[in-house]
Amino acid sequence: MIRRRLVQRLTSAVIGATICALAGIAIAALSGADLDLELVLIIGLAALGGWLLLTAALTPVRRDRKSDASSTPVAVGAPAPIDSDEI
Amino acid sequence: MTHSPDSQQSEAAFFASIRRWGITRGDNGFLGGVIDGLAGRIGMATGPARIIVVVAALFLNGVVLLAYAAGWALLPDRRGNIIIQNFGRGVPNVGALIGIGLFGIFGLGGLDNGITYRIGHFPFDGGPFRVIAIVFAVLIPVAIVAGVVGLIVMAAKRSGPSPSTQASAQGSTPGSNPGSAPVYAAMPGEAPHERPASVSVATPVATDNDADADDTDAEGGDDDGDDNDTDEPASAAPSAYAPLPPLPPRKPRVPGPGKGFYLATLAWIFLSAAGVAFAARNDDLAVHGIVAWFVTFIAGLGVLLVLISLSGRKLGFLGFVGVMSVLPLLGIIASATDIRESFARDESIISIDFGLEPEEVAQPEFDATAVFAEEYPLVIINGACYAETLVPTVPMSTARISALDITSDMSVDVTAEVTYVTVPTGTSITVRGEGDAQAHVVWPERNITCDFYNAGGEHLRIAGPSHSLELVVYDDEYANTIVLTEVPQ
Repeated sequence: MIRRRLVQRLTSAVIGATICALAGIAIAALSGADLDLELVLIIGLAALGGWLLLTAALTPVRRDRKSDASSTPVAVGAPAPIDSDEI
Repeated sequence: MTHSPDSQQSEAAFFASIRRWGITRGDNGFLGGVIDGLAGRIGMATGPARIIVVVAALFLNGVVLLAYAAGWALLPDRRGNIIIQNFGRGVPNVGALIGIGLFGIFGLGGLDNGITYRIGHFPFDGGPFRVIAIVFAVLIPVAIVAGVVGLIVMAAKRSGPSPSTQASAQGSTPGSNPGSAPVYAAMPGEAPHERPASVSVATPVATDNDADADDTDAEGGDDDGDDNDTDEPASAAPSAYAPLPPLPPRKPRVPGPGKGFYLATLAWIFLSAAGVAFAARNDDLAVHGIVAWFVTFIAGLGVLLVLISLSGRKLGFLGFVGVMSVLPLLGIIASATDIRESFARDESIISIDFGLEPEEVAQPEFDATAVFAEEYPLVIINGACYAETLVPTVPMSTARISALDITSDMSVDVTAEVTYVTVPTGTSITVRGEGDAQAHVVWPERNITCDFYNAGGEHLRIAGPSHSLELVVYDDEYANTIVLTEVPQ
């Protein structure tokens, strides 16, 4: 069984977080809260950008020059790909 | 049609049991081929079968659409592809999924227009009878659909063992693996095991090249490499066939949410419903329970999706559900105020005002005689009065009566839908209905509207010191609205 890498996990978590945030906004709106949708949109965009920036920062830049093997999922229990620069 | 042993073992029992029905979707269907496949399975021509389904849809419209969506999603095609199963495996057929989603949405939306609508109008408006009516409104269509499905399965079984079943039986010969033999539905001529023993068996069995060549199924995107519908060797072939070379190992894939997350989602469905029901019981909801439950469920689903992602799995079907919920969520956010007001007004999910009829009176009824008592010694009101000014905005007809110089008692017929009457303060006013006539009397300056729904007779009498003006309304196509304006003498 294989699993995604950390960056891939964080990136795909954006979908769930966005849906969760939209549902939260809907609950607040249905509860009668006077929402400033423009401000909410700005905060949402900033949060999305920050999240993606975090995932970008966690991505090892040197591995981008390598083959696609570094970006493919790794098998659980299999030896981790060796980065020669880290040896 | 064959599948590798690996794929057979990883298949859920649910899909395996569906395949054992021996019912497939056809290749010549308009949409998903469900009717084509069912008709072919029970030996009926496709045309009459379509007519029967359309007629059934007229009576059970929402249920039929939902049943079609379920068949499209869950029944395998003639190459063994199940839309939902392939989607769970990360090979989505987007066109088919959109079609299934649309059928599901329209089916759910049409549930109250079919037989459920008629049953739902139980002669009792509230209490346990209403609950019983709702339960029957759901159970009866479900029972009808279940009966139809049962009949189709029975008819399929009576027509003899399916080719795939025969294949399974042949696969139980010595040397084969009877316990795990796949029972993929296949049509005669497609199943490799139906080949006579005299056929040369030195080469691997070609399965459904012909079916691929003339595949006119609307899905179009099923040939995705995961179908196992290429020239694969028959793994469970009878011993008359030559030994086949081993299949190459499958490429490892990131798994979907898995049983744990699916069960957690199922649990959240019930837990969120219980929480919303408890809030409704305590009158803590500002919106309809369905809306409250939906947004609560989606909020929890979002959390689950984050957890699934962080665990390194693919979102799979839960991701599809989450993405599909974005549009309804945006609609709810945009119309949150309307939803709250609709629930506050009549506890409905949402109401749409087309402006065709005067707005319903929402104000509580009050005793209007006290308002007139100071100026009029005798006040008789045979109706209900409200502290509102309600006048139809687009009446079919309008009339105006000015009685400022009234010198004797008068009687005037009121025939227009809205009649504006101007009288001096203190004028005695009588409104009388002929036959089953109904009327509304409005005093804009006093912000009072009185409705007279009692059939005929004397609706209103306000006896003042001046002469009397009698307004007579008739039983016409609308309730006459009289707008009374009092001017000082």
